Amino acid sequence: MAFSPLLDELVEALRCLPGVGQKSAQRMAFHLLERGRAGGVRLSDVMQRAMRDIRRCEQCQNFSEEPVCPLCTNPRRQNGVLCVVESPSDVLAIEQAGDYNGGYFVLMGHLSPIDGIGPREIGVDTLLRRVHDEQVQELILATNPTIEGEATAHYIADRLQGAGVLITRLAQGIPVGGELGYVDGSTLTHAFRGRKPLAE
Amino acid sequence: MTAMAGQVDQEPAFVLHRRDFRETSLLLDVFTLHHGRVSLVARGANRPKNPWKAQLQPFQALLVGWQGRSDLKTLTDAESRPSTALSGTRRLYCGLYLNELLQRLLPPQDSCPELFATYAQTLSSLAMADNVEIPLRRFERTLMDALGQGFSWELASDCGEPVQSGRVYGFDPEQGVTARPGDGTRLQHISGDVLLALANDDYDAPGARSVAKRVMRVLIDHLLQGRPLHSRELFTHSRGDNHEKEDSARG
Repeated sequence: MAFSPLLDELVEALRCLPGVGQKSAQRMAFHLLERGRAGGVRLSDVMQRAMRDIRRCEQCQNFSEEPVCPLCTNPRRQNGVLCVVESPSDVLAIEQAGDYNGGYFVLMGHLSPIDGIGPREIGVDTLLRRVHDEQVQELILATNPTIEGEATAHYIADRLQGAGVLITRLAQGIPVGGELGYVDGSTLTHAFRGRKPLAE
Repeated sequence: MTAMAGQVDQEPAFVLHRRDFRETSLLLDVFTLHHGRVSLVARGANRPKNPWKAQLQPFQALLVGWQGRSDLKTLTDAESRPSTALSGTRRLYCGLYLNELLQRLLPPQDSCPELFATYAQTLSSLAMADNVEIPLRRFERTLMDALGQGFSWELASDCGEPVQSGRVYGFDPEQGVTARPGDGTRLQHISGDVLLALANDDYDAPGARSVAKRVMRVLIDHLLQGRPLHSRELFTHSRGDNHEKEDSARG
């Protein structure tokens, strides 16, 4: 490359970000050097601390710099209800919706035999231990409505058979503001199967 | 089927595996009727409102189109065909098992229409039948034939004589059925009656299912050269009806 060695290194380093190729990395590097030095210094400082300190919460497996994350230690959260999700962004989405007040368990993925991801890799044993130790009454399986998410939900439910825990799965249906004509067939089938009496 | 070089339209297919690719795309491995296992990139399929995202799921019968000359083709069209959804724990595990077998054992772009037909048939049998074992064994046998690993159930390969009722045989992945199994032969004491039943696709004879399962397992493990098949792990904890059989077959 035609830049100075340090600049080359910066561009190369920026390319580790998802969706960032050579051109974008160059643009970012130039921007930081020309107009955003303070931002760049802050980024490097935060990046260093985050990479060093952020680990997995011992209880829910979500990212956290504390051994147990703030969500898990919050005394105002309802005990006895646990929501199992695939990724931290799912926790965020459910928190933003604001209707749920129980605990979480983040699998950080789903079962995918072809990729070599089995129950161990997504922490199923940790989850089962927690269900047992905390005497969880309801386990909400909020894995994605994909085949892998479905298989993951079934696997967890299977392992908890006879444990006396109510196991629920999020409903699947038509999005708010959606039009029937544009909903795909399998979603529509699910919506039909899960139809409910119209409440007064 | 081929309109211009590198262009394929309306090809019957199933998704074997999918994963995220770049920001908004999916990388797919699909099993197709005429072109075997093909790798495709579905551009934009990972955007929130893209209809492909819902359609391009494993076990969903599809008609797909693609173009490209390299090993990684670009998906140009996908529509779903009516198919029965796999539901229930055991059926899902079985489906994942089929897909892992195809993904790991089938060489890319190797056309095997017969195997495709059996795969589609197996999925619909799994969706309806209570007993998943027989459809799985039939699929494994067709897969072995397609891979050139088929063998005769009614011929002892070492002496070249037909298998006889009332006698005992061995099985080895490299030799097939043997009349005089040595110490290294993987499976021993298989009854000739069972082998003859299996040659006729009869799984109701006493011991037939267990023998078919063990023979297929030895053969598949041989082809995988010791690397584990991850979907089998799922069955280990399963409390379904096949649990004991699974354990007995392992011993």
